[in-house]
Amino acid sequence: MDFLMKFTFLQRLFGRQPVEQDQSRAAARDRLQVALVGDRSSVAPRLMESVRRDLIEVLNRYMEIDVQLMTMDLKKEDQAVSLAAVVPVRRIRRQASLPTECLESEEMSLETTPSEEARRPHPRKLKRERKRRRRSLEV
Amino acid sequence: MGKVIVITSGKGGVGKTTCTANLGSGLALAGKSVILVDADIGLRNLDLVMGLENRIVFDLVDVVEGKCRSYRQALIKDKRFDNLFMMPSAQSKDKDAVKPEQMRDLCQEMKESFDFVLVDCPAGIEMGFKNAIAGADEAIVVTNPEVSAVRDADRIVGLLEANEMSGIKLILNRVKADMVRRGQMLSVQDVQEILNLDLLGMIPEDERIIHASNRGEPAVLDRNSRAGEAYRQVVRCLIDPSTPGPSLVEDPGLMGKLRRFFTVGLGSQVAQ
Ligand SMILES: Nc1ncnc2c1ncn2[C@@H]1O[C@H](COP(=O)(O)OP(=O)(O)O)[C@@H](O)[C@H]1O
Ligand SMILES: [Mg+2]
Repeated sequence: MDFLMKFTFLQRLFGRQPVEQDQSRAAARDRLQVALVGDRSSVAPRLMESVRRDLIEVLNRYMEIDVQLMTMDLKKEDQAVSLAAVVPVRRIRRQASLPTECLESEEMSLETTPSEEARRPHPRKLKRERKRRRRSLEV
Repeated sequence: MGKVIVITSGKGGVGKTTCTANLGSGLALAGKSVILVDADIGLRNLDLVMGLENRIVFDLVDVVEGKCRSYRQALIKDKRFDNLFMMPSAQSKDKDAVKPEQMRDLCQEMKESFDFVLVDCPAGIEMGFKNAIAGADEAIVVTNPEVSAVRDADRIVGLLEANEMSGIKLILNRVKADMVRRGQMLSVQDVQEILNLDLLGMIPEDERIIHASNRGEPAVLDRNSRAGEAYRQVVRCLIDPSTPGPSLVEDPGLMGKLRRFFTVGLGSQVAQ
């Protein structure tokens, strides 16, 4: 009992803080990180334009998209920032036109993955998923 | 051929001038020939921190306007070192009195004869900043572990990169190890991670810095100053970039060591 009292006394004396004490360091770090995403993207107005251009180029390899209706935004939430892009898809390109490394990696993954049955999601979910994919592709 | 390093920050009052004076004196102490250029036109300060305020005849603007024969005529020799000089800024002119091309030419000329040219940059991102960085080969960004200072430093790094500056390094000034330990201040790792820059130095908060500038004698020459010791470490890195940088752990200080001693001691007692 005696040494326990001495313990807390010494802790106080040497500045060890109780755990529940407010830790503004983490708040500073998180707030800065969010602020800087905003700062950097607003300071470089061409940055988002450039991301958009590259994104279109990549997506174009796999699907026909409606560039006019495509939207792209940096969304600031409380603790984080996310990039939300909505890209209307007109059609997916046929497998034959995919780059070769794409086809190769699929072949390889077929060998190693468990049976088709186990991988297949619930039919209703699949239908919903397909419908959604036809309408738009979210990145 | 020497090297021109600009010392910059974005936010004012974080320690650029103090840093310029200390690194300059430290480099001179190590035998290098150095010019310190006060590029903060209209807000002359470096002279005072260096203790050279009474010797100014010509200034930076006089030099670029051709009022003296050579830039050397405007240089003020340091009180302590024969190989350390200062180019004072103009007090009465406005920030547009120097153009980036003029600054570039001047820096070029200086580095042909000196090992290091350190340029003390004004705060902000206006013309004064553009002038100060115009002739620089490398940049040191000084910041404090505070949100506004770190944010402004990020903005400055963006501008430096846009100006194709390579070799941008970070000095984190006024670190209070005790506050970091209590989780009340951004740590060196936090700032380094956020800014994603090479860390050149970490300077502790130190009353002796104020003591030193009161007398016009940089703390790097003060054996009892912890900030001075940290500056000496930075000087070693500037001279030989292969020198290991600062350890990322803040010095615990006397109280920290005592605390560790007691908590370890008591910890074993509790276990018994
Ligand atoms: N490591 C430090 N510890 C304590 N005070 C410091 C430290 N570094 C700088 N200061 C003080 O901070 C103030 C601003 O420094 P200064 O070098 O003039 O900043 P800037 O040139 O960026 O405006 C000065 O009063 C200086 O003495
Ligand atoms: Mg200053």
